[in-house]
Amino acid sequence: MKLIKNQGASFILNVCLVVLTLVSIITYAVNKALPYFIEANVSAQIVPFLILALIFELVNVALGFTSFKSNKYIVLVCDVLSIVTTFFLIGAAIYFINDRVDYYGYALFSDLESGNQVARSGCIGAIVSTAFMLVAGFVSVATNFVKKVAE
Amino acid sequence: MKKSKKNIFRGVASVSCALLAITTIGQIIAKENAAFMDLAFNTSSTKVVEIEGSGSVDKFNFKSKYNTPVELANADMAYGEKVTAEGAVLLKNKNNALPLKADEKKVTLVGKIAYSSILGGQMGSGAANVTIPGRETANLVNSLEKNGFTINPVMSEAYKVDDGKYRAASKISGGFGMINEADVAKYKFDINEVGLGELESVSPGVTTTNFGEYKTSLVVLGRINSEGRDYLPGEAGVANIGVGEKNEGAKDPLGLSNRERDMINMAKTQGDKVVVLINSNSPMEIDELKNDEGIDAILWIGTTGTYGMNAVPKILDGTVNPSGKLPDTYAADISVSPAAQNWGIFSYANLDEIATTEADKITNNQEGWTAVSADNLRASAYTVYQEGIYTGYKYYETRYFDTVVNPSSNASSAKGAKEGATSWVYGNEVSYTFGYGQSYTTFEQKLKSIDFNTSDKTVTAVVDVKNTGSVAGKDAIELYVSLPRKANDTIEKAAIQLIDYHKTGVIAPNETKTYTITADLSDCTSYDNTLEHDGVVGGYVLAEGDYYFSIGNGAHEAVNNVLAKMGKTKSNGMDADGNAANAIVKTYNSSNSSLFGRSKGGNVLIQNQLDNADLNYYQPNAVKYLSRNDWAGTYPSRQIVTPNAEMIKELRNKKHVVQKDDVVETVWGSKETSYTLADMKGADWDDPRWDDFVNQITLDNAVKIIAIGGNTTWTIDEIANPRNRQADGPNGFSSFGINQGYAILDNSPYKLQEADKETWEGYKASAPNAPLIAATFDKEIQREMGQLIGDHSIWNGGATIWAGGANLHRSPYEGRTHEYFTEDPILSAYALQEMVSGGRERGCLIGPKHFAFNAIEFNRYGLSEYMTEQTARETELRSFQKAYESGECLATMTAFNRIGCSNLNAHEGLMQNILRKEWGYKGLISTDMVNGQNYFLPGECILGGVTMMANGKGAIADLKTEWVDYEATNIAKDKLLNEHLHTNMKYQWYSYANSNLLNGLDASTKVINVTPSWQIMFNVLTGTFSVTLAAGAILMSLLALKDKED
Repeated sequence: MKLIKNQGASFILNVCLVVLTLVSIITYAVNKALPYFIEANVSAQIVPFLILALIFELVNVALGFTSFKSNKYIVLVCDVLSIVTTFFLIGAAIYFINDRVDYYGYALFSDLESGNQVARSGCIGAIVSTAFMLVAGFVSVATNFVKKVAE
Repeated sequence: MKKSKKNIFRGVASVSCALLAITTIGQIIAKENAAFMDLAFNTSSTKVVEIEGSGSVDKFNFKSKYNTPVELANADMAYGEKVTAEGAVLLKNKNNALPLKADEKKVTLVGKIAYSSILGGQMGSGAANVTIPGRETANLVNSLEKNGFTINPVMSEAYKVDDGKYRAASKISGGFGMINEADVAKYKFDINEVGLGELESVSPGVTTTNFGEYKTSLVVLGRINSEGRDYLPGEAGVANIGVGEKNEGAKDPLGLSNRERDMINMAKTQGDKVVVLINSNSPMEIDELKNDEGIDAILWIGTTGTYGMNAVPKILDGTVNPSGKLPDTYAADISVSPAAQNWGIFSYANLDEIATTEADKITNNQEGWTAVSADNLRASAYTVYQEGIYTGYKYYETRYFDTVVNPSSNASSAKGAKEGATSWVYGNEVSYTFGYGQSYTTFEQKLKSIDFNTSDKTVTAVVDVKNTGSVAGKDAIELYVSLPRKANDTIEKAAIQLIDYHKTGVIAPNETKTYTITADLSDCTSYDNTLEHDGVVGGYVLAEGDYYFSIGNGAHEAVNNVLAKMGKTKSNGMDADGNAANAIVKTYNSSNSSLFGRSKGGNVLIQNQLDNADLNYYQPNAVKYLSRNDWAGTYPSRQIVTPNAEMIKELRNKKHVVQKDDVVETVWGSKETSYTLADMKGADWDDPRWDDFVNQITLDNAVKIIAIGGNTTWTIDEIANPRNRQADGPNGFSSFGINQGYAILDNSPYKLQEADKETWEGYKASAPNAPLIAATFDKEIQREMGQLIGDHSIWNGGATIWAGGANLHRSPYEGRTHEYFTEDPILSAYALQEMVSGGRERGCLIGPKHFAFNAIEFNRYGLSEYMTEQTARETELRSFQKAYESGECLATMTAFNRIGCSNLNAHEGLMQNILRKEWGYKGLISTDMVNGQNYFLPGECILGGVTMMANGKGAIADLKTEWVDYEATNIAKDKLLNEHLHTNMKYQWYSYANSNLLNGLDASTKVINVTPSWQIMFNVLTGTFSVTLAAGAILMSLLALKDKED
């Protein structure tokens, strides 16, 4: 507990980041499996981007609990991973927006699917999932500005 | 301090990383959507350069008739008015109620559509919702005011809602998804006319007070049309019909509700003269109006596009004398018509057996909607053309004929009669027949002679037309034939069918003009799938016997003239005596089964190609098609279809397995020649350079140009073709306008000058919808439509437009009626041919759609359409055929549906053997919007002759994921695919080489790719963020390493 307390804001932000990324993955998977989107084209990059981001975040969280935190080289590598995490989270969000933007048009802004609650709720779910990815990206940026106890 | 700096550097690097993600991935996406980016940033990704001196040669060989955008827009206005003036149909004119006198031009407009005119489709490619810089869209209200009419202000105010605007026309439910039969109730139509109570609540007394000086009532009724949706027959197709509900009393979505009746009664009570305007392409049930003595006149105006409404007041006040003829039959009870029995949302009984994946099962059975791209097979829905060849007037007039001539055929049976009737009586079933229309004058037509010529295969009629009234006007000559038919003939034949038409010029009172019409004898043939000729089975037969040629104001008068010629009178059950003088009999006594054995377009033997379109092919005797031999016994009823194993195999789409070990001799990527498309400008089909030209294209580009070729044809470096942005819309360049294509060169005389850009960039307009154009019965006007589209094409800078809706109005319930001309294949065929030819005069590739059988919009994706080959060939294929056979047509768009169980793009009999070989069609073919719907497989499409697949987005992704089998590396060893691909490339580039896409280009010019400004912007931003990322990361690392040293 003391250890966690000592790590302060950086740790909390890292944990938030892990949770947000996990939620992004889950909401994305759920959305992709909705009947409305079955076999709709999705970018192959999204899942690897989110998984890699999650792994890098877990590495950073785990670092605070290990003796490696005093190894400056390892800390440097973790810092780099933390920076790259931002790329993956924002990148996944952009790809997902591109994949779904036509459907937003169909379901939310035109009368092509008027009255189609399945389409509407599917698109709202996709927007929520994208929002999680983007928020995770912003939290990732914020995390990088915060001093890390591990250092 | 160091840690603080380190945090800042890391943070900066992280921000840079986020921005880098946006710019790098954004750039990838932007490149995939370069067309959109170029449009948004007003840039071009290609450029034309001179590679040789070209002297003073004018390379802009296709000229617009109009030299400025103002002239073009004025032409749009003039054409819209002309079509409406000549297409509007006067159906009823009791005591010459029309034209209105000068003191009758103060009018009360009644009905919400009076204030919200229907100008085009609800949405989609036939819509008329375009913006016109500095110009006003003509609706009924402003057109009346502009033409000296005054509108009752009290009633106008009563029709406004809280925000001061008028109510919009009711929309049809539907969309682009697949619909399960269980959910049919969701697609009822809400007529939702304004009740008198609502009007009273806004303006008390408005419905109970005499209209006073605004004594002429213009009551407007209408039903809108739309892509992606249909009307459903009978009460089941109307929402809110309970007692006291807003659509109470409506027996059909195309019938009247009590609220509509109430407003008509109000007009009868409070005004002097009641004129009903039918602002609808869908034929409505208006029998009660026809028979209502209180209604003085009925005028059908269709939907008039951006400007056409301005002609309506001119018809009302007599400035224009109406001369249009109905393009469709107006039936008293549409829901009992033969086609309506199998019209709707019908799902196969064994969906789970058809599905190949769990996803298919889900999408086939889920509640409610499935998505645009949701399922793979799209094999859940079907319709059966059990009515056979008897659609529209051919049903009503033939059955009427048989009540007189063949009583034993059960033609008078109650089966198929309107609700409550004990027998079928023509007069009770049809309000206004096809081809009917009145004038402010009267005409007397006389059929003087018929030349029945089997040598040149023509029928030539000479007709005198005399104006027997008191005002000048035009009339339409309609030439019909009644084919010889034996007792119990196994080949179905309509008792009357149109074979040609001609619109007269203006004829003065007492003046007589003589016209000669030369029809095509092949339109007097019937398709017999048992005919043996020239060693093959199936073909067109000119039957032995008596041919009755007839003219008339509509199909009913024509059939009565035939009956009169046969010696029949009212005593035989006719509803009016015909004029025997206007029917001429020609006897043909030859059993030459080879007379029409070879095709006109391709000179190949005609034989059965569509056996498997017939459900009986898979399930013998499953369907009994409507037959004149027994009207009652064969009358259509809802068909339940349960596909068997053979059908399921076909429904699962994939026929062709990509071969990996063939010896492929097709040449790709050749460097031996270096022809550009500009070198091939105007090259004919037999030009020996074509093989070398196509050989230059790499296999990879050939595949991509097909898989991503719809919407935009991209530049291929090997042939340096200009990009082509394809427009959509059967009623003109209404999807994008002036200079919004890609083929406008900087030195083009059609490039907008800077001073004109703000006003005219993107100008577009919508012509009146197809039924109104058909209703003119004027081939010149129909050709002008093509010419005007061609003018827009030149000004737009795009060579192709998906236009010329040649699908037939199988039923009035068709949601897309506005995009298609008529229920009659001959009227449609000539209108299409003229339109396509008019476009070619300007180098525009007008691409008819949707080839073929796009009869129902509900579940159109993959809808199985079952019909006999005779039905296919004598109805919708005949509608398309003339334009293709003429050689003028060089573009076409296919339909979404299946024919039988096969995606029609993959149907060899239809696509290759009929379209390409029989008709000799050499143009490009695009699919409709595939958008990731993977029942369109590229391999199947290539084998079917498709040259481009319309794909809004994700096409490259499709090739990399869903369609990976068809990537160049995977089909390189498939002989058949390579050969077809090579041929398809020739079709495509031959079409473009003969279009205005090459305006301004020739062998002395070359198209090169350039980097547009938006791409430069992406490059700069990516570079900048890369630098800041690198700087942040390096500084952070240096501090970290210095920490260590400390």
